[in-house]
Amino acid sequence: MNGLLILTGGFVASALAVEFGVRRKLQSALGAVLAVHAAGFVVAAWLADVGATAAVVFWSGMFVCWFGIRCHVESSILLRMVYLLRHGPLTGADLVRRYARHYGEAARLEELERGGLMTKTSDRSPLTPKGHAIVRIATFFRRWFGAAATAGRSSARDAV
Amino acid sequence: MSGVETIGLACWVAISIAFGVCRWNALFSTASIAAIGGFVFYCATTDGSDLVSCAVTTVGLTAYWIGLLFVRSMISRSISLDMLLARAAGDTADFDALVAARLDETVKYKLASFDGRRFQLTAFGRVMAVFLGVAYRATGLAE
Repeated sequence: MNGLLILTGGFVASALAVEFGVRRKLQSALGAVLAVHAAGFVVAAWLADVGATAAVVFWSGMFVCWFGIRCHVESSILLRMVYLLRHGPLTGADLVRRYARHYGEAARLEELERGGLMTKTSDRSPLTPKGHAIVRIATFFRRWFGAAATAGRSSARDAV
Repeated sequence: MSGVETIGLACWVAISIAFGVCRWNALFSTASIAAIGGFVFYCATTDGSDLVSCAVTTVGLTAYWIGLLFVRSMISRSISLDMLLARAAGDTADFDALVAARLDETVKYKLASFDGRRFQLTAFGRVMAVFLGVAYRATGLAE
């Protein structure tokens, strides 16, 4: 089982390297994150006496899982609201205001710009080609998954 | 490539296809669990000489399934993505409304209760808040 331990250790080391080395939101620093993990994978797979395919399956699975959970902790509004409520009850309006102060519209737009998905100018089409590609993919999957981006808005507005 | 690795890779591909094909999370999870279970069953029928590859691949496939569940959630619910889609349509998203839509979810998922005026954490919510505090501090995201 040394192979599993070495791969796990390599993955944890790569994740920690990203944690300390990349001081941006993961989604907007994907290139750097992938580079760190690629380097970590090569070293760990070389040290671990495991078949290359098994190592790739392991690392890709762990990467998607870590990335998904990390991004969720980073950006989830629901989780942040729970955290904001830790000191006591708040009205809906207070919660929204405090959330917006923490990671509001301007901060999110800035992050989209930093991630190369939007340009700074506010003309009619501020999306970059990368942004348009993301929009196409997201639109396809949202339609396919049947996601209603506007679901639940009306009742929540009442609370605010 | 050994037999275990070939079957493991086939299961990885099957989970990837299920991600795109299955519209509902429950169906995607069922397909993924079936693929992982099939792989474990295959490993159990071998002579045990490739046990490390079996363990490594099983961990990888399980993590892949869980990770893709998070990715599906991100695609469906990300507000940054909402904002991007609105911009692409030449519109601007109502940020406050998008954020406010999540208020009800604190109650829906039993994380908070609502007395008609204010939201308050439930016992489950308080436990979550402690874990979140640790996670936010560890990742430098605490206020």
